[in-house]
Amino acid sequence: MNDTRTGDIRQALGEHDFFAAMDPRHLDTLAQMSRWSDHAAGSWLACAGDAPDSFHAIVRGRVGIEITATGRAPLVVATVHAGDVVGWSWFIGRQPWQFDVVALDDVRSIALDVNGVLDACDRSDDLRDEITTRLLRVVADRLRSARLQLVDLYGRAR
Amino acid sequence: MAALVEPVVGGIDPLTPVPHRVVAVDRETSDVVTLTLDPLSEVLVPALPGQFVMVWAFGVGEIPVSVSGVDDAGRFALTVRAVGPVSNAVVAARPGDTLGARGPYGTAWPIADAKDRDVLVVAGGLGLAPLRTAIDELGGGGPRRLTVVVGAREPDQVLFTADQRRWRDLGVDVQITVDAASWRWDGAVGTATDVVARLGAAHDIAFVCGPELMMTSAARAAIAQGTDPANVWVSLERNMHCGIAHCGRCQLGALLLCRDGAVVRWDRVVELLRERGR
Amino acid sequence: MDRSRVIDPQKGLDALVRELAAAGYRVVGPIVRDGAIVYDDVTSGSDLPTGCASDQAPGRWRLRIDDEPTRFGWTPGADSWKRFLAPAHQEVLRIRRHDGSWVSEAPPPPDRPLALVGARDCELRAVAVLDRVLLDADRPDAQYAGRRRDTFVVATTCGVPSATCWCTSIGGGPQPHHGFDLRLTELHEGGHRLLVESGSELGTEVLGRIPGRLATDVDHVAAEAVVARAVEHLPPRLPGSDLPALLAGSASHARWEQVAQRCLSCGNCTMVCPTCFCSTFDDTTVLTDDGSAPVETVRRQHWASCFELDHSNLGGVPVRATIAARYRQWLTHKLETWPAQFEVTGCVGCGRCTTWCPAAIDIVHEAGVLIGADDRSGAGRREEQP
Repeated sequence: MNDTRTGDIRQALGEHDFFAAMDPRHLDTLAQMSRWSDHAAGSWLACAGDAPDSFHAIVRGRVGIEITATGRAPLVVATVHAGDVVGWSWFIGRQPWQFDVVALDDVRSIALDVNGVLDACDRSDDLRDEITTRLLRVVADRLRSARLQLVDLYGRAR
Repeated sequence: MAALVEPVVGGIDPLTPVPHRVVAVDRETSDVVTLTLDPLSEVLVPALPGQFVMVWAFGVGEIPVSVSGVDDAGRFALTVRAVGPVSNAVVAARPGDTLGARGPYGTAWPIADAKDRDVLVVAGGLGLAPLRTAIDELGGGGPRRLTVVVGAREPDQVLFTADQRRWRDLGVDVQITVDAASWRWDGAVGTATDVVARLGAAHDIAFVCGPELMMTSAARAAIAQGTDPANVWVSLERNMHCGIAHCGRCQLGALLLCRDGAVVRWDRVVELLRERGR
Repeated sequence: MDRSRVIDPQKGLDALVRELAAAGYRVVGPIVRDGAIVYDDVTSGSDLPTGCASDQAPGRWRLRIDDEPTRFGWTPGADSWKRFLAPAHQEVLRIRRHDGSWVSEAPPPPDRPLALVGARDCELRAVAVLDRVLLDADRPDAQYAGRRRDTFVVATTCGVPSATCWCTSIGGGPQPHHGFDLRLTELHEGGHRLLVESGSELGTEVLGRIPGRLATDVDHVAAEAVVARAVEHLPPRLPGSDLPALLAGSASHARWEQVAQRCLSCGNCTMVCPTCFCSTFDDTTVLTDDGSAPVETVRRQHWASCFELDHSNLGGVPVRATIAARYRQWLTHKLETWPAQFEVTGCVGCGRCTTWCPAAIDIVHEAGVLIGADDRSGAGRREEQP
């Protein structure tokens, strides 16, 4: 196993699907506000209502987006896998985390500092466009899935 | 006359339900069972993967059901969800009961085209039933690579879990996703489309079966991953009533789905599926 | 033996019906009943209409009777031979409980073959379409096969097409050329008589037993004139063989919604259509006295219509929930998709669907709008009349 603290984070960012084909200068900038983050299975990456400090590019393992309501068992409504990111509410007016995020396996992610990224976006419209487009794709995929899940597809006879 | 073709009279009427004994009932989920039927008299032609039979419950009625297993002795398996009067009667059958069946009808998954290729199978809900025999055949080492994506509502709604273990042992990449789960669930949560979109590799040929909405979504994802639309196959359902292209009720555009389907090429139906109320 | 003869319109027809009955046929032909021409069993040539004509227009069929001795001056009513070959209601199977299982039996085929008297070209082409669908299938329809077997066909040349006829636009014409044993052509010029031509060995045999005389060139020339005059009444209205290609892109045409405003979804068009074959099967079950178990099930088949809401049921919900979707299914099946399914055109141009539509919807006019063609005949312009 690689030492999680010493892996080349700049290289890892460049190899991550979310940042694929991004301008190397932007990657250099983002690498400066990134750190490795490891989470044991069953631990939380974030909880609903938490202030947004970082978002995660998943490198290994699965995280679950989980909804907890009193009197009901916690329910995972989506899993986020290696190559995808979790957390985007921060990008719209630094909103807090909307849902719990739980590590379903031993998870390694790249945690990107939200304040750093937003400041960098203020300095570079091009970087802001890049992040906006990429996050919008994530949101669109999550929304498509949520809609399909909403109709209880499989409940009826095929 | 004047007979434009020579009519054939006699033989078994094609609408006759052939009696079969229920020899096994395996409960798959809370409302889905797999029945094994053994012929009592006439033996039906073994169903090809993807074909269906008309199943008849005496005194209740008849429904189309995909064949989910076959053996050499004329036995076959049907996986049925209880939704209407007939399917409820079929699901309630016990070993020793008699059910009628006629068929098999319709087209099959093009298994031969999958030899030495990268094959993607996507199944949603009960859609795994008509793909089960196809995966069994493909799992024997035909394709170069076989990826099976299974979508279900909840973990306890996943069908054929024992088969899935067996397929994995054969080297099949089986990926299961559900709409919602507890954190104890060790598969994915999301849609089959999400899983297909994450594969990150094009497959040469794709077999997709499930609810229509799931199929259109998953087929598009497979195509976005690089599969040629002419190599994507889906299994469509309409009001199959007679099974033999006489009653006209299962039409979808120019297709009589009991005869020209249920398994059809995606590029031949994509526009029809887009047209509301076809 | 003579292959064409001339017979008397009264005595000759009498003899023909008598000969067919004597040869063991169930003879079915046109009769006048309830102010319309219908098809039913006939025992004598005099059962067939005399002096009858029919006025047809979209939404209109009226019988006109005059003093003329004409025998085939009418065009068909709502009835077609479909009713005899694939009846509106029929038992197809009877299943009885037996020894922990069941035994089943299909009704025996009819004891006598049918003889159809007075069939037009459109109607023979319609029978050919039904043959294609129900006999040429992987699994032929056993009931249809039994009824269709050894059918004897007495065709007739259509001398007086109606205003809703459009057979020449879709592969037909006033005179049948195939699928008959005998062909009648009613001649008036030079004396009222029927020219009878044989289309089969059996037809020639039967013809030999009918009193009459040898046909001459004069008779044949007169028959050609009848056909030519009829064709004049059948101007081209649609490019029939091109319709599948021309309609292929019409699925989201605004016209479907417009016609749906008028269409009652009553299904009349499908019932009177001589090629509409859609059907449904119903099981009726007799239970034991205590109601605990089935004893016998009778499976009956009856005509169904794509205008019925449950026709397209899928999981209890109709796929074609709107009238626009159902009208589109009807028209595109007839004129666009049928050849892809059965390698023949589904429409024979008989005009029944237009005549018997209570909303006077003219399929030719609708198809013309859909393909952007100019319907020159003017028949479609009557659509706004009540």
